Amino acid sequence: MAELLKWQWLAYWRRILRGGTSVKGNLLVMGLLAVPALARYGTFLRDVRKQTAEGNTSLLEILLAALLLLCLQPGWDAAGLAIGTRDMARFPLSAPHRFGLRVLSRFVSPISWAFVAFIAGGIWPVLALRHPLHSAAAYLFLMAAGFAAGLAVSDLSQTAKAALPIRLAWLALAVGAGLWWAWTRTFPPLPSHLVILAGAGQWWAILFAVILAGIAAYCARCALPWMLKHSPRKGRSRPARSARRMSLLSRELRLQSKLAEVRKNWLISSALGLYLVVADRPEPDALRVMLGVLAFLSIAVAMNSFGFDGVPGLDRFLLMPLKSIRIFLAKNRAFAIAVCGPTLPLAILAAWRFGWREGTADLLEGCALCFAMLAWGNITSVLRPENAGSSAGGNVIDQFLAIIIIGITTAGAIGALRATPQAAPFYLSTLVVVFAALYAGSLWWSAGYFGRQYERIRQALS
Amino acid sequence: MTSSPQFEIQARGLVKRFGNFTAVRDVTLEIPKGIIFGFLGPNGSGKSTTVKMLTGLLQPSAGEITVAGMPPDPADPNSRRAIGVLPEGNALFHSLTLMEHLRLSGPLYGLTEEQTESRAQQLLTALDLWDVRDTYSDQASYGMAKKCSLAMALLHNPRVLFLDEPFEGIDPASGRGIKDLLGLLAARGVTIFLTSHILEIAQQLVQSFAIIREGQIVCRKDMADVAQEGRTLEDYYFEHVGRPEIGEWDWLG
Repeated sequence: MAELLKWQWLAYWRRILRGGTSVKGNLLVMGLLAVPALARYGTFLRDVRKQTAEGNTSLLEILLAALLLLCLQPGWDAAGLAIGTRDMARFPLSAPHRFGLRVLSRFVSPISWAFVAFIAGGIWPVLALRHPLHSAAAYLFLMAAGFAAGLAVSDLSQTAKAALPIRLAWLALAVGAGLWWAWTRTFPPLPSHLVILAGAGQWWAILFAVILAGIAAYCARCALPWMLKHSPRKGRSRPARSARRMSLLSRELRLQSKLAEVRKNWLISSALGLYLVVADRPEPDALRVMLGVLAFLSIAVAMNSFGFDGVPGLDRFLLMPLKSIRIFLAKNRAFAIAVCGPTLPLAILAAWRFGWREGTADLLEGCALCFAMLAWGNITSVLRPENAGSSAGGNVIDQFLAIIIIGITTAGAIGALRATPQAAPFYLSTLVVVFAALYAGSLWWSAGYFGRQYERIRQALS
Repeated sequence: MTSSPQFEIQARGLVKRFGNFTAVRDVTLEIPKGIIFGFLGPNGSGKSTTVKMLTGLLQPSAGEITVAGMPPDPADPNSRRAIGVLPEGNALFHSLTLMEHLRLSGPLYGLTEEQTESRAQQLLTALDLWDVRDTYSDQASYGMAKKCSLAMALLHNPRVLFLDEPFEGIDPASGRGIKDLLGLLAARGVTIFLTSHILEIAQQLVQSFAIIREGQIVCRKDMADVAQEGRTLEDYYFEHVGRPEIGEWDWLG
C-alpha cells in the first residue's frame, strides 16, 4: 500500500510539473492566495474565539457549519488524482488496504492540505466553550464524520446509478435550508450544533457525534466496493437524435451549451432578471457591476476555445478545407450567442425599469464587454491553450489580466453614467467601437498565428 | 519543387525532429496514381508521423512534399479537398453523433445537402453504422469511431486517401467490406496510402510497400517483384524489422 501511495504521489506531482504553464501558474496563484487567506482566517478565528468566550456562539455556529460543509465537498478529489480509484482497483489489494489507500490518496494534493489547515484551525475557538474537552472531542468526531460522509458521497457520485439521486438530494437539502431560513429566519439545524451542545456539558452530544462518525465510516467503507462494482457515470446516457443540419456554428453552440460557465451564466442572468422585475427599487449600478461579474465568470470560455476540442478536434479542423478565420468566426459567434445572449434581455428590462438611457448604456456596456472578451479570448486561445473538460479552466494569470480589462470597462461605464448621464451613450459607443476594432485585430492576428503555429497549439493540447 | 504528374504523392528528404529526438530521417517516397501503397513498420518507427506530415498535420523539419500536385497546406482549402484522411486517433468531435460528423463535413467540401445525405446513408450502411448513426462519437466503440472517420475521409470523393491503421479494431465483416471498397477505389484511380500492423491484410491489398524502422525507410518493394521472388511481405518485414527474442523464462507459465 505504501508503494502505491508513493506512486500516487509521484504521478500527481509529475502531472503538475508536466502540465504546462497554466497548471503551474494556477498552482502558484493558488499558493499565493492561500497565504493571505490563511492569515485572514486566523483573524476571523480570533474574533470567533473572543465572541465564544463571551458566551455568544452565533459566529461559532456559522464557522462549524462551514467547516462541516468543507469536509463534505468534493474539492478534495477535484484536485485531480493522477491515478484514479478505479485504476487502483486492478491491483491485488485487500479491502481494508484499498480503503486505506482511498483515504490517504485524498491528502496527496496541496488543496487538501489547505483544507486540513482550515479544519485544524477550527478547534481553537471550540476550546473557548465552557467544557473544552467535551467540545474538542465532539468536534473531532464530527469532522471525521463529515470527512467519511464526503468520501462516501464522492465515491457514490462516480456511478451512473447514484449520481442523479445524490444531485437531487443536494438540491433538496439546499431548497430545504432556504425554506427553513425563509420561514423561521434562523439557521437550519445541522449536526455541527452538537459541538456547541457538548461544550455546554451535554455529554450525549459527544456520544451522538461518535455514532455519526461510525455510521459515516461504515458507509464510506461500503461505498468504495459498491462504486467499483457499478458502471461509471457518463455525460449522456440516452441515445441522441442527430440534427437535420450541422454547421460549424451549430457544433460550437452545442459544445458551449454544455459548459458549466455557460449554464451558470444563464442562472445568474435569470436571477438578475427576476431582481429587475420584482425588486421595489432596483439599483442601476448593481446591474452594471453584475454585467462585469458575468463577464468575468464566462471569460474562461473565450480564453480557451480550442481546449474543449482537444487534439482530435484540432486535427479535424486542420483536415477540413477551412480558412482558420472561419473557425474563429464560428467560435466567436457561438460565444456571443451562448454566453452574451442571456444578458441581452437584461438591457431591455433595464430600459423598462430605469429608462431608455440606462437600458442603452447597459446594452453598450454588454457589447463592449463581449468584444473585449472575444479579443482577449482569441489571443489567449492560441497562445496558451490547454485541455479542458466540462468547464473551461484557463490560466489564472491570463484571467487576472482579463479582470483588469473587464474592471476598467465596467468602471468606465458606471463613471460615464454618473459624471455625464447625457453623454454616456456617446462615450460607451466609442468604447464599443474601440473594442470592436481590437476584436477585429485579434481575429486577424489569431487566425494567422493559428495557421503558422498549429503544431505548437496541437502540442499544448496533447 | 515541381511535382511529376505521374506521382500523386511525392516526398523528398523528409525529416521530423521533436527537440533532440529525430522521429523521421530522410524519407523519400514517390507513389504513382491509382495504387494502394502500404507503409509498414513497428510501433514508434515513424509511420504516423510521416502520415501527419504528408497530410499537413505536422510540418516537416526538412524536406518537401506534394500531394495531388500541391503542398499539403492546412491553410489552403484546395489541398484539403484533394485528400481524404483517416488520421491516428480518428479526430472526431465528441459533441457530435456519427451522422452529424458527415452532415458537418459534406457542405464544407462543397456538397449539397441532398448529396451529403445520400452519400452519408450509403457509406454508413456499407460500413454497418447506419443503425448506430445517432450515437455520440465519444460513446461509440473504437471500431465504430474508426469507421465513421473513414466515411468522412471518403464522403467528398478525394483523389488521394491516407489511412492510418484502417483495420485496427475493425470486425472481420467490416474489414472485408473496407478491403473491397479500397480495391474498387484504386481501380477507379484513387491513390491510397495506408499504414497497417496486420501483415496478412497488407499482403492481399497493397501493390507496393515500404518498411520504416527507427525513422528510416529500410525496404521499398512492389508486390509483383515480391511474388516473382517467391517470397511474402511478411518475409521482408521480419528480415528488416527483426523479431524480439523470447527467452526461456522459467518463472512464466
